Amino acid sequence: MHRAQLLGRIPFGATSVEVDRVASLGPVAFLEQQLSIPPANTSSVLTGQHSLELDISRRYQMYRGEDSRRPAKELRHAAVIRAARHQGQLAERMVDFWTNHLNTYSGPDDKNVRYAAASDDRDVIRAHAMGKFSDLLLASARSVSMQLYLDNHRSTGRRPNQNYGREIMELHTMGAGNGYDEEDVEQAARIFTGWGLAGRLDTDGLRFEYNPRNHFTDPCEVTVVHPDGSVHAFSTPERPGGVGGEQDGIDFVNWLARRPNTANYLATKLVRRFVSDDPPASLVASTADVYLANDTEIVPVLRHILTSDEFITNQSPKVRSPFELLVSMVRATGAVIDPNFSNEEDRPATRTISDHLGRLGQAMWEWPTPDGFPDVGSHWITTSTMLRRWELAGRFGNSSLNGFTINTAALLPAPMPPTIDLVVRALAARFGIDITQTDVAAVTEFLGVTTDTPVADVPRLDQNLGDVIGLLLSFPANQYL
Amino acid sequence: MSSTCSTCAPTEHKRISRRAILKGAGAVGTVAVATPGFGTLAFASNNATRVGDVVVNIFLRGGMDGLSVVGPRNEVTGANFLAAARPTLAVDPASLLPLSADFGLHPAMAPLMSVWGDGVTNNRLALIPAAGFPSGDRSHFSVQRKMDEGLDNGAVGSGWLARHLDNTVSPGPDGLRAISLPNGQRSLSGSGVAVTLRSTDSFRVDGFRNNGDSGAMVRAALQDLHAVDADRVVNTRAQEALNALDIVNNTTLSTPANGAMYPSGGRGRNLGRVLAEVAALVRADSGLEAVATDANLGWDLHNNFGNQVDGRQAQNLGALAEVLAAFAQDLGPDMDRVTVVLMTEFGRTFRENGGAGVDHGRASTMFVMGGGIRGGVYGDWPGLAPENIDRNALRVTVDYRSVLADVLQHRLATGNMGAVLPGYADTPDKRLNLALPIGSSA
Repeated sequence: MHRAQLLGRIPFGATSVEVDRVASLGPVAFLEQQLSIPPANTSSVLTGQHSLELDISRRYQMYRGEDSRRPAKELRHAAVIRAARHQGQLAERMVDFWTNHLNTYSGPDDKNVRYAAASDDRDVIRAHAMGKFSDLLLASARSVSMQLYLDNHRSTGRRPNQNYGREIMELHTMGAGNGYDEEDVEQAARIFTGWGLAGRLDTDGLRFEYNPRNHFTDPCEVTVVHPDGSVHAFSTPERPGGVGGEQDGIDFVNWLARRPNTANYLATKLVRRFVSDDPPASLVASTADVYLANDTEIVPVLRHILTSDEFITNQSPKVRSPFELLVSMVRATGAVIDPNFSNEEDRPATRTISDHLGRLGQAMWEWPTPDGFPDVGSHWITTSTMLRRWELAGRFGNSSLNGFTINTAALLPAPMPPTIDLVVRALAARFGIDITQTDVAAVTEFLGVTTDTPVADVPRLDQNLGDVIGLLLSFPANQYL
Repeated sequence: MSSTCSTCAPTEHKRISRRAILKGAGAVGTVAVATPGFGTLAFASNNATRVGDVVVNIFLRGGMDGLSVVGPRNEVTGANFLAAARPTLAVDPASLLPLSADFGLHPAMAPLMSVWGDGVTNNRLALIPAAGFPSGDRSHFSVQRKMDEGLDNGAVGSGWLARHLDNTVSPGPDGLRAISLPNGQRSLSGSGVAVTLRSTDSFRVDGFRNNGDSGAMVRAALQDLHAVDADRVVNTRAQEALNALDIVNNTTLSTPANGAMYPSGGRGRNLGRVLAEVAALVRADSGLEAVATDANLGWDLHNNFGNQVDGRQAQNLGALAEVLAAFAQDLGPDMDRVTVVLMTEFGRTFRENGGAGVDHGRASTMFVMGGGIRGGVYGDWPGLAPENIDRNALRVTVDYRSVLADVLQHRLATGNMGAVLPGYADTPDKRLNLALPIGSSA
């Protein structure tokens, strides 16, 4: 039974590759293999003139004056190909999770984050997605993206800017109101003063740099009430001239990462992602313990969740996010995505991906606020996004997505079975759908025939095959992990 | 705390002090209105022929600074303190568009003065400059969620507009009772009658070839495939989508009327599209009762707030005013059955920070606009002297729910105030009475 859960919740839609691997390795070894593979991180995922391997100043030179949405489109293009093709499916799902957890915004009016976002993806998220959370958090805190996005580089001892100090506690670690108050937000903001950026975008690029002159020199103290009611304080000494103040921020990040409040918050979000919109309290609690016992290592936490009784016996459906849906359809249909990213005319796949993710409600890297997309089905599924989800299915079935090559005929069973219901069933099986006889009938009715009609007698089957595949990809079951 | 009542001219303070209104002291001349009591609720819900307004709730997500929307014009209201706290950001009091002796509107919001009129007669814009969330939370996300749910703490999992709809008899034919545009809004979540529309134009199923018909066969198949498991979110939304599809297909929508021009670009473009759509649906009598939308025009100005002429905040406010004025013009006489409520999760800090921006604060301006609204500046002004400042922010003197309660009772004929605003002790002394009872006229 564990096989089905693992195949359902680890890959972005299981293909024959994963099915065969679970069959040959067994579920335990399959999971261990997934836990051992890091995310994809080579720039060859795209061809043409892209910026994935560039530094910030060269990216700025390339994109300055261009459509401000191009850098986010480039990242989405790469993310979809990587998620569809990378062997380490679990690692790619964690990249998606951490990108959302440590959300930044690229696009119009973005404080220049768009020139740094691909570096953040490469050097922060993908570098640490399967490592230690404390390392990931520290890398994020010092990243050019996050410094720009949450204004910390403008925060000074004399006039602290609370944006980053607030959100690192509220969104990245402990969760809103979980054991701290407004006074602690003010104190946290002061601890991070002096953390900022050096360099110029147009020449040498921006980089993290500590500037002691901007540091708040008086002692600071953040007090956190743990879930058990005990009170714990993080204190910094007086820092004359700001000397040594950088270490206070590093120590504070590491201290925050190891609070049980943080363990609970991260465990809740991870269990929500992999198990259920309503995370079982028992699994959240045991996951938080594993997180703390392993000094914030991510892999043991995932192993715990994905082998837990709550996971194995879980019956709660989990709606696919638009990104998960799009990638699952690429995998289900074997679509080949044009990797060429160059000028506007020559990058149809780039545009296809961004257009559809946007219409479905998930323009990644363009969610404006630092909370990231809500990770619950009720957010993704609305009346209007249902229509767009069906449209996407129809376009995959009819191979009418620019930049995507889909060999629909190859999806058909060979040799063709005698009657149309068997064709529908074979297609459903290929897409991993457990189809009922009623649903088979709904599809054949669309073709204007009864279920037992010989294939040769179905009128215009060739023309309608795309819509049949579109309907199968529209099945309710296909909207869930 | 209140610095206004004893000092401002009688004709100008009739709105600003709720006590004055309740005591009748401020009901001067042209705006003599029978201030409705709390008991009209029963009348409202029992009158089967009565039709409430279309309510349009616009959530200004991101935390809009209010001190630059309705600003103090003199030392009584604290212009001097504001200038000192925001040396590079404060709006020059001399350039504010006068609303009263004490208050003025940001000059970039000049288009809204068409709704304000002469300020007394025919004024359809109520401004509540010290409104907000009653407790001290300054998190975007937790305050937005609670305000969407109509709460001051905790969680109920459904929106206040959803509960209003679910507790109020719908008089009209089956139609689009409620819509979220362009994305799902939490204030309508939990409602079985709310539809999310990106736009009516795009509300269709593309991508299929349809074998020569207009999509009827695909529609029928989709209906069948989602017929069971109605408790699952996908199947539920799917059925609602297919029903709404039929209604939208049978509704003829018009282009903006009365010469209204929505912004074709810039920060107001998206909200303009939404409100143009709403105006068309109101005109089409599509059964619309409630609309929820949001407008994050970039309010979260921790830095680069900008100057009052072409800075970020000025551009945002200008775009907002332009869209709202266009909506009022577009609706024309139909504005008499529309009430627009704008709110934000919090205002910004009183003193500017090191990045020439402002952090998360407390009170901000709420706007209520509509044909049934008695225009004016409402609520007690907390003052900007150091002793009146709440942790570097404007104090909240008007609970946002008291404004909602006014609108719910007088304009929406809500059937169960307690269910819509649970935990809110709705007492007459909290009311601003900015909404006229339906059927009465100014």
